[in-house]
Amino acid sequence: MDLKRIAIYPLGLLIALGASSVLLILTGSNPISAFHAIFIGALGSAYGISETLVKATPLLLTALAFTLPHRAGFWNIGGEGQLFIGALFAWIVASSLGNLPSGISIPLILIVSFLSGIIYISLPLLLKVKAGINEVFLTVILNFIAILLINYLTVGPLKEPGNPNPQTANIAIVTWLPRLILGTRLHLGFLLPIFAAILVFIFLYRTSVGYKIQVVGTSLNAARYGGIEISKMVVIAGFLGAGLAGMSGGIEILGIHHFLTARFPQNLGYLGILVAVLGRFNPIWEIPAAIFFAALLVGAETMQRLAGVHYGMIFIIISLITFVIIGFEKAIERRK
Amino acid sequence: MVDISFLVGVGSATFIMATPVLFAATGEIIGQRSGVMNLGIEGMMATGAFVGLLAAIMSNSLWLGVASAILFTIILSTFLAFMTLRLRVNQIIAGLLLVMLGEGISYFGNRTFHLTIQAGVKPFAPLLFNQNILVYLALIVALIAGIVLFKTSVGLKVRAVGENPRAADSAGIEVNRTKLLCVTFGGAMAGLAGASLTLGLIGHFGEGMVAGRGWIAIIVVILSKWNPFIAIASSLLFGFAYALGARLMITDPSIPYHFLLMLPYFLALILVILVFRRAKGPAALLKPYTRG
Repeated sequence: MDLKRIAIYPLGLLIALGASSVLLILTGSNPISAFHAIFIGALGSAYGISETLVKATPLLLTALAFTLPHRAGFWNIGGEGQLFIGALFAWIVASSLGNLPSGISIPLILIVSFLSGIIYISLPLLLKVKAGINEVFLTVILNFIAILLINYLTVGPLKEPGNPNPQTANIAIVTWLPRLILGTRLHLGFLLPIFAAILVFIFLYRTSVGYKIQVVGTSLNAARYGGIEISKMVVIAGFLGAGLAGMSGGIEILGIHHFLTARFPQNLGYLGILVAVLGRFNPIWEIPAAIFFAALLVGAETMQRLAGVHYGMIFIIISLITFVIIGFEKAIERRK
Repeated sequence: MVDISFLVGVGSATFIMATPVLFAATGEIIGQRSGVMNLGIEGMMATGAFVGLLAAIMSNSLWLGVASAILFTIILSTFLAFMTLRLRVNQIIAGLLLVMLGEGISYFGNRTFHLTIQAGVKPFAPLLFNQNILVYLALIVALIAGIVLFKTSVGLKVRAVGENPRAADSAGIEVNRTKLLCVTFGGAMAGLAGASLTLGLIGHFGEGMVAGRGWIAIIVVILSKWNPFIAIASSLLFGFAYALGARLMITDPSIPYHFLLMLPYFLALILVILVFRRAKGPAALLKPYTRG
């Protein structure tokens, strides 16, 4: 990577922060103290850093959930819904397992959440490969349905009796992912997306199936000419991607919340797409991209507390950063 | 029990529920006919809904609210046009980013100005047949868009740019400028769509109130074969699904309201499966154009 390509990151960040400053000043806030609070909140303490890693966990998985199918030419905008469905089935299985030892129950639950993601992408995926039906809208619509379904279940049949909040009861402690550092929420599950990113990278660049998937995504004609089974490659990439999104829901249940609610931090699926864009659809680059966005999200809570700027500002900042950086990337590409 | 008052209620609400979808779909048809897919409508509608209400409260004028909503979404869509036409960022990615940006603006703005807690405005009053002015405006805009698109030389240019930009270019049409104008028109309509939610429907803002209507508008575009006249009928169909759900919530509280809220989504799902297979859009949709 040449110097110009590296320079666009700090430069893009500065420009995006500059644009955000204008908005902050217009709404009567001090941008310097807002950005300072973000930095302190995310990286200024061991707890902040641990929270950043906690937040990066689902972001990296949903980024991979977008990346894998994207490499086969399938736009999976459904990470959000797949995450929620994964969380739902993780909770159901976790609460019906009884007292199996953690070593058995946790992997089992994570596999189930992986499979639930696969089930939830099946319809758009099959319609895409069998009938050529556009997947963007189907996956988006299924996100809305999934969230309404969780909303219904957590005020209705699965609601914990006596709890004023729309949420289920906690799963048994033996199914909780172990916390790594006392006093933080950093749990063992944070390693999974990093492994997943490395595995996805190896899969895409070092295996023949991965290579075929990339051919399908790059040129359908080349894939046809090379005798690649296109539908099969799209389905494999779609299933693996959606499985990771489902598993991210499972990890959130086992590692963080321990109960099911539709009031999870929403938008994790959509933010994952932005992580993938920032990481240029490269699984390894998505690791720092996910940590970066996670830091912004964690810092935003501190920004609200210390600088009085509402948390929602961070979504504007994140979209502006992504916009400016891909804009620069494209501009450089065109010069060549 | 289905009785007359129930049917009248649903029928009357169908139009106002269809209005935001029809505005957004009409704008999107023009944009897509010129070859640009604006996937960011959902976010633009959220911004339009918020800005429209805020400006209406501050200026004490519903029309100034509508105008501000349009102005804001024109800015957002110019941004989109710059990204996709000039820098040639992928249209799907740029659209998704705009959803995040637009929703972020409405979310942050709402919390900063405490709109949800504050009193809203009294929405546009009903005129003829118990429908407000925005309902008629949406129908008129769709009709005019259809006439312009199919019966005028301007419409011919727009379609030429979306079907065969190279031929259009050699015929002396400024391809990217035409696209820019179509995209900003689409943005303006998305803002109007958002404003029609807050200023035409409830007079309040709620986070998540757009609730997929932007996405449904794009689905309506494809179902309507990129034809504004057909879009009127398709929007009314979705308006009916929203109205039926809203009515049943009141008359039949035993049905969990979450399922009633799912009605338009399931309708969209079924229609997409039935119709999208044969859908054939403008030939140059999603493709950036460069000379030479």
